[in-house]
Amino acid sequence: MAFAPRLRKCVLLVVVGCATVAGGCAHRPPIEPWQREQLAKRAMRFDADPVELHFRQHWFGAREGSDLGYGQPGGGCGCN
Amino acid sequence: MRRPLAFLLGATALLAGYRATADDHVTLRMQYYREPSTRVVQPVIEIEKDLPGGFDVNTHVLLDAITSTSAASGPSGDNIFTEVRDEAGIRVGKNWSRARVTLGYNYSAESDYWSHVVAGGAAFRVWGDTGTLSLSGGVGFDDVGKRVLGSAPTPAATGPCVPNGTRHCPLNQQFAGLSYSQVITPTFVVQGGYELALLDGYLASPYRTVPQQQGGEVVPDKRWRNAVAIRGAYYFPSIGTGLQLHYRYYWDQYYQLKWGFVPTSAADPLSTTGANPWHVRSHTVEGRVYKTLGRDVEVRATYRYYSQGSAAFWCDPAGAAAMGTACYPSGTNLYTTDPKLTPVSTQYLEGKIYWDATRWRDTPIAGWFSAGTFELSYGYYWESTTYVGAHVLQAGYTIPY
Repeated sequence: MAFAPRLRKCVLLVVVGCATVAGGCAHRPPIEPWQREQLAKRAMRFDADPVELHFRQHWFGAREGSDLGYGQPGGGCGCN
Repeated sequence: MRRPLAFLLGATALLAGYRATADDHVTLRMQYYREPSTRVVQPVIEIEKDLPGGFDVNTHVLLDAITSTSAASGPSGDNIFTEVRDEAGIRVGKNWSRARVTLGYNYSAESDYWSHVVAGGAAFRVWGDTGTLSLSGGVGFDDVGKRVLGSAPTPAATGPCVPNGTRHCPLNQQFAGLSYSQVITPTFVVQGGYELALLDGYLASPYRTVPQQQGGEVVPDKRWRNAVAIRGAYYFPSIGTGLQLHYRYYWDQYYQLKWGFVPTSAADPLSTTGANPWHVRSHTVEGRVYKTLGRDVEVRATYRYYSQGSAAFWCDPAGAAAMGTACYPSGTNLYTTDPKLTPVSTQYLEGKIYWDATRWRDTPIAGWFSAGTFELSYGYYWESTTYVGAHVLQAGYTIPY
């Protein structure tokens, strides 16, 4: 019986979420093409150096119990 | 070693003769990692090339020379040995006006570990090219062996497959991810995503010993890894400075595939805790500051903090001793001494400099490198485990062609 209020809450959240997204899409994009200069900077890119990221992922995976969160998990042994 | 080099030469020959664009580049890097028990020297070459028809290809080859005395690396005692890991990968991409699809393959080989990974991805730009929705997924097929050296112990055959001098064991993984990035303002970008990986097979180390047991470690044969991550980047044009902040939360658990996907339960026959035997939880926070210095130089400072709890089946020897009991009494199904499965906290502090070599344009010989960018970084990695800490040095050069 406790399921019904939870379901109502979920439906409400989905409706509000869809309305928010739909409302947002009805507006113009937040920036124009001529405003994109700063976005090309290294500081604004999360994938600016994939080789470095690959190396870091491998060594963090060998020393920490977590993985993922930075793109494709790497292959190879991290057991040394 | 011959196979990656042949692969690289073949890929280079394939790329020759096509029109160069701004994305075409070659990167050479040398990466060095040193902690008291392990030293890694890793040269890498990466090549990217645009192809006709909206295609592009990226390939890399690296060699890992790992010199180690750690128990996890093989022999017990004071033996030191160097092992080489070869890795080669290729990724082909296809671009449309608002979409990109990639397919890649990665191969890694050591004398006792082989890995094949096939991965694909798709990205869609939405809302006036200010948002990007990315999907990724793939499969991995690993083969775990064991080099029997000296007095290295052979684990008891308690699982479906335990590597020994002649037997290899499979480790398969399936992974997928979903992320969305959004430009909020001309100087502010955010990104969020979720990734998962299902690992199935031999997940222990065949070399690691557990003193209380007459053999190696035994860990669950299935692991469902999850991570959610959010990132933000902000740029201050007036002072040429950018900030990035990353946060990741990770959790994992055992799973079963029986009439569908079923998370672990108290009925799990491998469980010694009556629930999820993994239960590793971690938080990662990372901050970066980028600063432009003049026309050619940019510096970056990075700080990363990581904290995790132990796996549920790990036994703390000190805690058990304080209570007058022994770890892993008889009848225990799972046992490990893996430092990664203990409570771990690490910190990483790094400084990096990028230098565009345009000043060399009119200098004889050095002028050949003037179109490229040099980078150099040094970092120190503090570890709360027995690994103590590591010096990390990286140098690289990227040149467009």
